[in-house]
Amino acid sequence: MSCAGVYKRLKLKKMKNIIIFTLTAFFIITFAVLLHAADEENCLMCHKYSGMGRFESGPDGKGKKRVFFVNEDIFKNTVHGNLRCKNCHTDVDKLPHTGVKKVNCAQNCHIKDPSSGREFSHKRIVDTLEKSIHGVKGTKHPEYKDDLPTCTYCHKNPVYITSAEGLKFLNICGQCHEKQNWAKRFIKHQYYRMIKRRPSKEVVTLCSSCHQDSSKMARHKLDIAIGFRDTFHGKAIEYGNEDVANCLNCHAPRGIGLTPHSIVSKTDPLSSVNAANRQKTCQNYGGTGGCHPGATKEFALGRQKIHASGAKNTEEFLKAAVYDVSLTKGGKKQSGNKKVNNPDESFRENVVFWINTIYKIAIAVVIGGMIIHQMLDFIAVARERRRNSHGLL
Amino acid sequence: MDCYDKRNIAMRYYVRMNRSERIQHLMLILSITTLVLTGFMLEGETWVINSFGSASKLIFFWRGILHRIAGVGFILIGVYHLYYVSFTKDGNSWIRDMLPKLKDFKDAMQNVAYLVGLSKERPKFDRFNYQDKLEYFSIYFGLPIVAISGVMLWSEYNWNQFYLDVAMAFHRGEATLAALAILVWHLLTVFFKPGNYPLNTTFIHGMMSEDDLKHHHPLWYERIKDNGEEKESKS
Repeated sequence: MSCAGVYKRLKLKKMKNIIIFTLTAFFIITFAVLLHAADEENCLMCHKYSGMGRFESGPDGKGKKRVFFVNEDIFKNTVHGNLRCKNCHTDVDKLPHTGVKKVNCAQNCHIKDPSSGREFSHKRIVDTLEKSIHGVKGTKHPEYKDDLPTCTYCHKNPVYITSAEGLKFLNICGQCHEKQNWAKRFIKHQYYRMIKRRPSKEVVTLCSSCHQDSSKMARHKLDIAIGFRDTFHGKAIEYGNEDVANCLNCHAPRGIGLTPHSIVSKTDPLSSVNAANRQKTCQNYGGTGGCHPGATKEFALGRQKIHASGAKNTEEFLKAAVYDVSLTKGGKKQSGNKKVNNPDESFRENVVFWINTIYKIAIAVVIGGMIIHQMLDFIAVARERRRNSHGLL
Repeated sequence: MDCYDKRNIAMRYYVRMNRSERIQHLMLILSITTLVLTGFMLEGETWVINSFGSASKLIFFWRGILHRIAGVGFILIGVYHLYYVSFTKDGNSWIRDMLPKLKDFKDAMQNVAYLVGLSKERPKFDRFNYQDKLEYFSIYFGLPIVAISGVMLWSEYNWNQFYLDVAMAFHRGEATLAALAILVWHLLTVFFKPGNYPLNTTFIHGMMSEDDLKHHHPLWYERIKDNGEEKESKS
């Protein structure tokens, strides 16, 4: 083989490689651009990879797993799916993204609010939350402000609920509005607010995640809300009934002008569980629920312990009592509540306690005696029958 | 009338429960079973009902309604039985034999002594022994308690929470006591007592064989075998 031949073949091979590489790159780039045409900032170039993430040291010294993967298909269908990444993550402007702060939900978006023509913002709702008992300004113990729920503690940027019912209107919209995706989004936006978004069971779990945390509640001088699952409301919710009151129906009834963001302390005259408003709350005043339309004042005021009735027997209480010494005496002593020192209240608790105790003793003695009597009786009868040759008994 | 038992021995049968008593007893079985099942659903673990899947919501809804229907039935049976023992001939003789006497106390002492081996023989029982009487009067003791507290809980709008708490404590305590007592004292006897297994069928046909009668209720047997209280058996 001649030298020239080898050289030629090498050159050809090189050319072939270059062509293949160019074509491959061209197709990849074209497809990538086509696929992510909506992602104008090109964040998904990296964030589309599901392995993206790292371990960080958390505030309590434990490792924390952070996932930076964004599933575009899911994100596009969430309530924030039409926003650009940088509309919220405003301070991400270099690679690697250093010094990034958490997203502030109160900042202005680049979306125009059609009602005012100005840039849209969640600021009003954030202000309401801050003034409520769950907010930095409204809380009675600002020294523990890290315990307070943030926007994202409850709201997880959920996927819009798609409903065939709601999408029926789509062809009506389509008569004028030509972009179907836009119309679809608009309907979902409206419809989402008309239906119940969270099942009651989820609401109870969400509220309980803090209000059953005994150490957290002790810091804020509150009773732990553990008895709710033993009440009729709690049981019905447990069995999937959506027609009974969950936490929010009593603590933030819309009928008397409260929203989940504006919950106030029960001592506040605006509170729905304040003695002055209790009756209206049970009656579902101004609402469509019609819960207890016949509720008398007596009935409404009596429900001091809607969370705590029977709580002393629950597993959660026992757990709390084991781990938290301050709870061992009745679950109420930990709070600085004046109710505990009320002689009337303690008399009432004692009466119920003694009825229960007497019944427990009676059950143990009577049923225990009966079991022993029956056992002896059965043994005796069996003996008699054995002794009786023809077994005629 | 003579008939034959399963060992092919001619056997005379006596009426232990008449038709009215059998029907009352049947209604009592129905109402108490419903009350116990639907009542303790509230106390039980939620996964039991949740294991019925999407039907659990419906079950929990009907639970309350069934409990109230059965409760009303239970009260009505109690009231009817008061009428029965006061104004009918059979009822009069029933309550006369049922009322506790000093002999029952002595019987109980002797029977327990016999069971633990301190006495050589069992006492001779009349129509109802002390176990039957205990069962009967514990129901009559429990019925007003559960009925009054149940009606209070039903009409909860009219009561202060304190009274409701007390009513709840009584209702729960008495129901647990009564349910366990019936289970241990009555059901265990009629199902599993040697000689009764698999089931003492007296509550269905109302009859008791002469042998059983002689053995379990000798004094009553002596009383009714001659004086004409005996009734013809069917079967």
